[in-house]
Amino acid sequence: MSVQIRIERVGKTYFGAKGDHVALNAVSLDVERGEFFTLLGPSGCGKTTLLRILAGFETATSGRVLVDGVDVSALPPEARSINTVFQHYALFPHMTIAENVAFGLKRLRRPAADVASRTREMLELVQMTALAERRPTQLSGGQQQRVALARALAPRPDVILLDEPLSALDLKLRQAMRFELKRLQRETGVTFIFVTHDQDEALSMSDRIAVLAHGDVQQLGTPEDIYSRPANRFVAQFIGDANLLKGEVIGVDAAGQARCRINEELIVLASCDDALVVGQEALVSARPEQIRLLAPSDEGAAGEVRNVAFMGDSSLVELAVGEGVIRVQTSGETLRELGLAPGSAVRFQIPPLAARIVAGQ
Amino acid sequence: MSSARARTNRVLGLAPVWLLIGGLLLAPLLLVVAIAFTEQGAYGGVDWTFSGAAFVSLLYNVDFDGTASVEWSYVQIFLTSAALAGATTAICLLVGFPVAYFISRQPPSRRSVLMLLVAIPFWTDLLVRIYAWMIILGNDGLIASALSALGAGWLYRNILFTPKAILLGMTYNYLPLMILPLCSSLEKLDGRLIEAAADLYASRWSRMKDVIIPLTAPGIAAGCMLVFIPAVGDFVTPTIIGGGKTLLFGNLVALQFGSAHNWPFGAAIAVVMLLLIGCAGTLPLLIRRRLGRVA
Amino acid sequence: MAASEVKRSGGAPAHDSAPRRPVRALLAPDRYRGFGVWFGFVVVFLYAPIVTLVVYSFNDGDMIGMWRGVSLRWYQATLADGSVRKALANTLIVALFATLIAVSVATAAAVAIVRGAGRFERLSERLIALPLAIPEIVLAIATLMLFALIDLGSSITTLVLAHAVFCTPFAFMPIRTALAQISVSMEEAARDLYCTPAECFRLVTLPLLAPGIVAGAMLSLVMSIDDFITSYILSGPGNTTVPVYIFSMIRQGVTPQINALSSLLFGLSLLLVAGFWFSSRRS
Ligand SMILES: Nc1ncnc2c1ncn2[C@@H]1O[C@H](COP(=O)(O)OP(=O)(O)OP(=O)(O)O)[C@@H](O)[C@H]1O
Ligand SMILES: [Mg+2]
Repeated sequence: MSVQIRIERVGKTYFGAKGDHVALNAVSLDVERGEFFTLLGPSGCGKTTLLRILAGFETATSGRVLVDGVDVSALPPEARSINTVFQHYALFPHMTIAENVAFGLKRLRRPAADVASRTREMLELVQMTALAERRPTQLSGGQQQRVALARALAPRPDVILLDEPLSALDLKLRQAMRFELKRLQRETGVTFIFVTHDQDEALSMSDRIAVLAHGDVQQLGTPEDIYSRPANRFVAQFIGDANLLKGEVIGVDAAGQARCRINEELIVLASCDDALVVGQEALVSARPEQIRLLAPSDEGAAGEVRNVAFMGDSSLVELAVGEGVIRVQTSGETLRELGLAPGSAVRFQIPPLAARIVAGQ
Repeated sequence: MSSARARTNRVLGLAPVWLLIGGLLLAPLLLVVAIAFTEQGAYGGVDWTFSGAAFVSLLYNVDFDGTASVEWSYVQIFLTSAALAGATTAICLLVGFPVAYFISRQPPSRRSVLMLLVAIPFWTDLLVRIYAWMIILGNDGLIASALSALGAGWLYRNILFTPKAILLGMTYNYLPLMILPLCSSLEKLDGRLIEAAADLYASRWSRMKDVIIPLTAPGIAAGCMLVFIPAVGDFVTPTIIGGGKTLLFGNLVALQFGSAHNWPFGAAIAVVMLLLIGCAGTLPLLIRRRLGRVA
Repeated sequence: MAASEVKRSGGAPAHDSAPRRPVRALLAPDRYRGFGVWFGFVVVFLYAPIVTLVVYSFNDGDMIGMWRGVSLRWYQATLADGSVRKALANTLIVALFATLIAVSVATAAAVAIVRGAGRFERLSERLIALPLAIPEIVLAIATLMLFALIDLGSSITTLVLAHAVFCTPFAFMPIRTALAQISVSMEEAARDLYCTPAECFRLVTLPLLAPGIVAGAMLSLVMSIDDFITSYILSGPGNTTVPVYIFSMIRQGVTPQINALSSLLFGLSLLLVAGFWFSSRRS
């Protein structure tokens, strides 16, 4: 794989009458050719800003953007081989679906025959051929979404930018469109840079994810990396649910595994990338679904059930442990077997290496 | 997309406005102010020497022998004009508010139809509207004929060519200018706020006084200004259904540029009129500050 | 009523203990009793004079208050009058050219103001609204003085320019509203799909803005056609407009011919208002 887009220390400050606002600090990222790359982060973290800088709608206050080694920072949007799928699609209401899809090709002065054939090809790709002569207002949200995608893909751009393209759709459609988007990306081989604040979306579709917060990249890696090896406290909490437990390192082995004491009864074996020293404080992250509930007679740390929330396929149990609270996700069966209700005593275990020591304590 | 270039384009886009309105509104207004401080030329026109004579002659009558006596007639005209315009504004507000409120509480599609209904008379020529009243009010007009046909002709009081007719005519002319801004302000008022007030035991009157009116203060101010400004300068209504008997500001100005041919004096009156409007303009601001702390 | 009452009481009453009392619907908390009736009164007040005028324009008689049957004779007399025809032509020419200027100026300004948010833009927006804040008579005599001072005299051209000034805010309002409704991402999408700024304006902004521009043009036409004060002050003998002509007729005395001419003018306004209505609904 080769690097296609290089974002070098890009910073953006909005200068306003009521004070300046730093949206991006100094973001550096490489995106590889043909990759499904996701920018994931909470609302207001600067995802859209970064995307708009890539598209050329916004100028970075510092840093630069290279596409295939060429600095495009000074190029207007129409001079960049990058197309955008807008959040609310921005389909031209005064044009038919076919005219919308053909728009970019015509502006590139492609021969009429090419425009027609490419438009047809794109409409087929997104299965919209039958509705080609309709207007955007006569389409459902999902259909508009496909047209927006076809319109962006038609001029054969190097990169497609998608800003929360699924957020306007209902849950069922959103899930179906995930597969659809992934399929289109695979079939066309175009690089997708996808923005979302929905972690499920990011984890299920991406080749790599950059987690953004407070104008900085918090972690860059594959979905697997980010889920099971969160680089810091923010990522651990933002991706999935995590119990963050304060403890003391009581032993370190050569493989980088650390033994941590959370309280008298609870000692966890956690994985870690950083070098640790025996005796130092550490923050251990353990996912609720990785913690096992046991009968009071079994061996494990003791806790008391405070709350049980039914969630359909599973239940979330809140345990009072010492002074803190630990959330455990468990099946209905276990719940019934142990006869758990608020107030009942229970024991639990964090299996070896299910927990991870995160930086940033 | 250098933002400097975008900025240049925007400035270019605004150049025609400055040329047109700057050249044909700001420049003439400055000229009026300048001319107000000159002397009347020997053959009409303007003698370009600085003088406050035009303003002095608004208040004093200087005789040939140089003795000055206070001239009340202009002051009286000013007061009449201001009073008529003020009364028109007040009546329009009282009459128009319930109308605007009613329209604003209709479903959106019907609302726009009703607003159009109110707007159509305003989009009709001022002269046509005033003239129509002459047909109705005149001695051989509709009301008179109808009453005499019923044998009740003695009931008829001709108000045509009196200040009452002017007030009626102005109210009629400018009522839509009050209703329309009130409507657009009232339709932005969230109905849930009124429900919340009712929920918290506010009576209908209190809902009006404590919620609806304070929240629509900007619309009320806009409507009052939109009515007051043309009313204070109106010279068509007094000329036609006032029969030219009641002289107002507008007549006085028009006169100086017609038969009287005293430009500096006309300009001075115009300046006073603008000052009056400026003062009246701060009034709604004050009201707004008191009423609309939220808005 | 009675029949259904009988039918209902034919069956065994289900809850005969509960007295059937008609429930008076509650007045919604945001409603006020009587406002609707008041609205009706005001509409009648607003339309009565105009309707009277139009009805009497078809009166065959010479007297205003005396109905003598329907006839078109006053319309015929009016339209046969050469000076009326001249005034009508003047009115339309002035309105068309003033509107052309006003709409172009307003469109350029709206694009700059809606898409930019600087201090200069806000100041310019105030400037556009300024003609509404000054009594027309003051503006008219000020313009007259300016024209006299630079020896422009009175001509159709000066009248067109003066009309363009007060037409601009009316053209501006609907154009501005329409533009504000066009999402910026629409224009960004066009740029993203390889439009130059000029192409973006021509292919995307302008077509989407068209209904707003038409609405603005209609308002501007109405304002110009119906204008009396400015035309009265600024028009010379050769370029009288219809309202000015009507004024001189009224001064000479009330005749049914004025009814006909006024009704024609009203009809013209109504036509344009309808045009405005439909185009502003489309945007
Ligand atoms: N034009 C602007 N002027 C001033 N501040 C802005 C502007 N655009 C964005 N911001 C600010 O910059 C920050 C980042 O905004 P951005 O739109 O990139 O966030 P985001 O990550 O896309 O959030 P969301 O998920 O809500 O879309 C926000 O705090 C926002 O308030
Ligand atoms: Mg965003």
